Amino acid sequence: MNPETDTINEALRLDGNAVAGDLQMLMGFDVTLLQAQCGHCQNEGVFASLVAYVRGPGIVLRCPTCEGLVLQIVKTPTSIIVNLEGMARSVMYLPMS
Amino acid sequence: MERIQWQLARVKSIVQETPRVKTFTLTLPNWIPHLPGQHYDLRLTAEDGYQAQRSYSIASPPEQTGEIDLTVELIDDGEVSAYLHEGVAPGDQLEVRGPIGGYFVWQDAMKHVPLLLVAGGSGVVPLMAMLRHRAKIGATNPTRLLFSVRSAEEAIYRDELEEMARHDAQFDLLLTFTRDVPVDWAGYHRRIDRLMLTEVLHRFETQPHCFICGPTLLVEQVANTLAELGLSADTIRTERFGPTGT
Repeated sequence: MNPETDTINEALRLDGNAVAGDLQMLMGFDVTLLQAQCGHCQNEGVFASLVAYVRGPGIVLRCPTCEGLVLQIVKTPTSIIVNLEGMARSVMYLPMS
Repeated sequence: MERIQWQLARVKSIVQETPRVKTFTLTLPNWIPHLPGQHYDLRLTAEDGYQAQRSYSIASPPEQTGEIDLTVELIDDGEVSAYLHEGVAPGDQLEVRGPIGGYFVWQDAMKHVPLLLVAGGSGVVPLMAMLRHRAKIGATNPTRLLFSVRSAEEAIYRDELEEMARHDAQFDLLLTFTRDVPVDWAGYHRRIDRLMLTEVLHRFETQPHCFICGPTLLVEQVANTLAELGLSADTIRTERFGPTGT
């Protein structure tokens, strides 16, 4: 492992807030408050706390606990491709009325 | 939740906040009331179709209707911030969409709970929207902003924050200077650490809600330390700005 690269990777790490716009446009609702369960370690947390790497050709979201791949987003000129295979389950709590 | 779409905003005015930070006031044809802490995405499209997109927090409170203030730090090698700082003038149009995000927001329902805001550099921007809105609605919850900056000239909104602290006995501004310490400065002059957070927490009679925004490593260190100091995880909300901003 290269310590310098590791530090750069750490500093470039964003979170689920950073991809909320793309997903809201795609799905029609705000995803940041989704309770997402990691398919690898089964830990649960809000979508906003997922770790996001956004400067590559695609966007990668990883579990903050086990670093497992939870979600990938790739944008092409004509489409947005979302791969959700690392998300075991997601729960949207409805606002109390 | 309203459906968000890209729209063409017009630059109404530009204010130089610090040598590397400008605030852009944008007039929106389809303005939607936002919650303090939310952001907009901004997209630039080159003539060849290449697009670059970044998220910028809203600095203005929702009471400022029809327009939004986006405060943007100039990032070295930042393709979007460099264009905004050097290539945009009042009257120009910019493509934006928002408001976005329901997690890192201060809701009116929180106005009776003490509030701890922690910012590093331009991470203060979404917290400023919270403080401006809090002042507008006349909230009296004990509120503290711990604001880490490298030097006095990089302290965004400092005059307004000090003015706010003078007029609101329930609001404290705690600045810490990490590189160039002003002469005669009696306050903090180091990076935010465990002792500093312990001292700030001791000023609260009951546990506060916490919002932390800034460079990734600062946000993670502060959030972890606050959790170690006994704050429950569901009262700590974080937003990472990346290396020095986005």
